[in-house]
Amino acid sequence: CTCAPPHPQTALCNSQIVIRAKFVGTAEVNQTDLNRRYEIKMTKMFKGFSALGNASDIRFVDTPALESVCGYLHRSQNRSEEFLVAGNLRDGHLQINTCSFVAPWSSLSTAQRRGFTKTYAAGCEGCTVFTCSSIPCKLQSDTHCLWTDHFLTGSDKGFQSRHLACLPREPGICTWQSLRPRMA
Amino acid sequence: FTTFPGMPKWRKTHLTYRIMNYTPDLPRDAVDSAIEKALNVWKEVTPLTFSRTDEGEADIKISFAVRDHGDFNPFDGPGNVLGHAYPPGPGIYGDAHFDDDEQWTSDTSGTNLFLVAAHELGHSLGLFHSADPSALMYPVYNVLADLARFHLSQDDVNGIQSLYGGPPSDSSNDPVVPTESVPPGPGTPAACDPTLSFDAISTLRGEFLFFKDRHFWRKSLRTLEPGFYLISSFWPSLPSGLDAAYEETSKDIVFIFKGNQFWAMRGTEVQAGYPKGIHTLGFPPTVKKIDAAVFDKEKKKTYFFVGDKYWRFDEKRQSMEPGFPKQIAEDFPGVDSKVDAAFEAFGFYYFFNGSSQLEFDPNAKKVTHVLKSNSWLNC
Repeated sequence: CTCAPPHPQTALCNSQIVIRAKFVGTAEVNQTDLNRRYEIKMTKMFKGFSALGNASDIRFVDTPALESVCGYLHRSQNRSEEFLVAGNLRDGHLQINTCSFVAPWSSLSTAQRRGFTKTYAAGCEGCTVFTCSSIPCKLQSDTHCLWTDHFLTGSDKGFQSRHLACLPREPGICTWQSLRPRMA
Repeated sequence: FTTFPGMPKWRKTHLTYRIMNYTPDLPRDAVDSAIEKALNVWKEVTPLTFSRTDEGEADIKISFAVRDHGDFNPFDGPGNVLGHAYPPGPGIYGDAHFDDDEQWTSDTSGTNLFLVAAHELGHSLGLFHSADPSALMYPVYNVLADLARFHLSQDDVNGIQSLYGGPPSDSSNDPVVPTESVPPGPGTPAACDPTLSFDAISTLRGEFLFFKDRHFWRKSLRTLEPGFYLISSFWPSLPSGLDAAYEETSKDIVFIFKGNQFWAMRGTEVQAGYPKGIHTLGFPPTVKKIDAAVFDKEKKKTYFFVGDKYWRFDEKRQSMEPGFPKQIAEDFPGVDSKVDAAFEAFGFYYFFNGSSQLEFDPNAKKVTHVLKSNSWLNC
């Protein structure tokens, strides 16, 4: 399994379901389809109300059992720790993988929490976080924001990822905007 | 590194692979060569060999697909998951799949197929993910990868060799000096193993290169930690298990010797016309190989060590000097055993024999220090 981790805004925009949840049970592996199922308790839902339809609650999250086909391995033993989980619905079940945005809520920056709660969604419709994959790279559209964290910090935990969102500034133009709390 | 639970691995060393279909992003031969190169990464450090088949069953089947593609693990469109693979076994096991919603490229302008393939094929051979971010088996695509300098990390090598062992040893390696080094596994020398010996040593533009089997350490005085590389990652056409090396600094050329052949390199470029036979330098037919070589910058002369004798080559006239060979012990008093490797630094000559090293002052004509061979590697 090889991942190109997304900017959190991309994770929110490209996922059908984004929730906050606790991993409460031990995982069970279905030997037929080699699926690993974690029992979760959802504490908040950010995205996916319409996708979920009548099934009002999500109690499980599914992932491949094998790490090499991108199975997500939950390492934390702490059952009261809350995680941000972004995934997709498949046959009515929430599906995630190694490359999904799954992170302890407490590890997110204030800007990321604000983004998932409210602000990132404002950029989903008209704006795109454009991943710069090699230097030089250039924007292909006015609605793209150039994501260069990989080059500056060598990881996806860079400044743009932690503090910025790609949002409409005026019709047809998107720019990086800070979601950090304003200093008085 | 980690392996799969139960440590699945292939119970044979010759594996077949088949490329089932192609991505529209790249010409077919670019896909073929990326896959072959990716398999070579693992072939180099194991006894494994691979052959390609175009029909029927194969151990490792390679395909490009989007979204649902017949296993229970659909791909997810552009980004995120780039590829996945199954551990060794029959049927789908061993197979590698690539998400064709990525833009596959031969360079790094898109998603580099070779890099992802080398990682996925590591799974196909039985390796799990590594927690070491410098390892190929780390699950995150490395946008900073320098393709020209690509090499496995020691963690990757340790991982794959824990399953299959090292490559078969080269039978032409000198059997006279058995090195009794033990861990960390065959073919991966440890810098601080007290028994460490070297095959050859050269300077290169102010740095030092210590060759050992398929690897070399590259030591710069500016950096504390020496780098450790596969010889083939710098010079793909060079063999392993070298005999001797020296840098002709005025020409900016490093000469590398193995058996009765030698190569000339400027930086990473092997010069045209090489390898040449060592006898073109003026050695008699009785000399089958060189033990060590060192260049004297001031006199522009190169010393070649063979057994207990040495020759001197005039680099300006490009000819062996008359009156040689001479006894080493006669002109280098104190250097009275065979020389494995030698180089010059700070006006001293350093002679290596097994795990010990002699510092020789050519002006005073005497040995000034006795050191461990690996003293240059911060041990």
